[in-house]
Amino acid sequence: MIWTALTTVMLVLGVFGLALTFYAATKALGITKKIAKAGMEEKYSLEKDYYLLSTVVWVILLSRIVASGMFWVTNESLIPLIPGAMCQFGVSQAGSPYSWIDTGLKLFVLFAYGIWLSLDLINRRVKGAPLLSTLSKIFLVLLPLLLLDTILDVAFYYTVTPVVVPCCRTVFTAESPVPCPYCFVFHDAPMFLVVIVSYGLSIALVLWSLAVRHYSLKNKELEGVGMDAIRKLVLLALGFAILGTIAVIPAILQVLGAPGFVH
Amino acid sequence: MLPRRTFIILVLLAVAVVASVLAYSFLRSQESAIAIEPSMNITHYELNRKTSELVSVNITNFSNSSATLVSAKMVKIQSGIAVSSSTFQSPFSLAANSTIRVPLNFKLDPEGADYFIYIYTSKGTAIKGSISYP
Repeated sequence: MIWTALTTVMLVLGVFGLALTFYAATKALGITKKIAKAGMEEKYSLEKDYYLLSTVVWVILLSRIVASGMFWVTNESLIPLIPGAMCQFGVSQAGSPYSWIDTGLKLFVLFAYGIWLSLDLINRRVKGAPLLSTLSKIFLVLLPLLLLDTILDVAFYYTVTPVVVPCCRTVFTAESPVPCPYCFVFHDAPMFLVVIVSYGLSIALVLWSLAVRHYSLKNKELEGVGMDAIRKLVLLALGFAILGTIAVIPAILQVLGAPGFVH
Repeated sequence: MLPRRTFIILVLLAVAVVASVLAYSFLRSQESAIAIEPSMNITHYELNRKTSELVSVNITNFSNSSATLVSAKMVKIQSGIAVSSSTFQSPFSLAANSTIRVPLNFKLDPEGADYFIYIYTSKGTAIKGSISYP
């Protein structure tokens, strides 16, 4: 392992996430099993259990979302510490195979975690927590992804060592039709980071609004709160899409080497 | 009302993707369309490894005609983007069968990369060379 402040934080977040996930999984399993046969009194007790579960899951998912962002920053910081690495491609080579799977997973975990968070947000606004059972089940569905995400982080940062690696110049040559995505986005055209993040958030917000719409149509109690949430989510998504579109102009100018963008 | 907003988002996304792909394709086609001088070469690269800088290049003219050097550009091969460029305040005259030193002071990536160097002549042609750093 390469011990730096960032790799240590990533490792701690991973171990912390794993511990909380096991705790939350047992709670969610218990609620899912009992809820169908529960009487009024037990339902009330399960509702209280659910609020504890909900708080723990918020902590887990938010820590995973923070880890997803920190993943790129940590990998960027490791480049000078790995001989031969010129960009994050080299870092991923040093942490192979965990790093490659982890990178792929990090690109879409936000979409999945956000569905649970947005549904729980509207569930908390309605009396009687109508999505209690659904959210416990969705958490159990998310469990393999959550475990994979956390375990891969721990495995990657625990096993990455300062070995000599071949970097992107072995794959991306002058004849390659596409550029090295890491060199392109993180080093030479960083305005594209703003574009990608803005559109990513925009798409995520639309997906979350679709999930809220699906469950709002199923539950009459959620209709009012759900529609209000959908309106806000889509409006925010539109805002991010506009931000991404505005950012694409300087990003393209940067690629074209316009004066002011090249040293 | 809501699907219309979602539709606008998708249209904006599509516009951005298409514009970016077109810009990159245009850049690549521009670079492949540069007319390269066959009888002029970059024969020496002066590097400052402490500051990770391409200080200057030596250009040798093997032809019997002179040339005027007006600007320079450095393209990072891994990203295909021009990372440095400069237009010379006073163009360099390169006489027939001679060598000239052209100062550049282009910053190189300290972690390493491969670059194409283009030195443009007043005719619009370019003298091309490549370096791998470090």
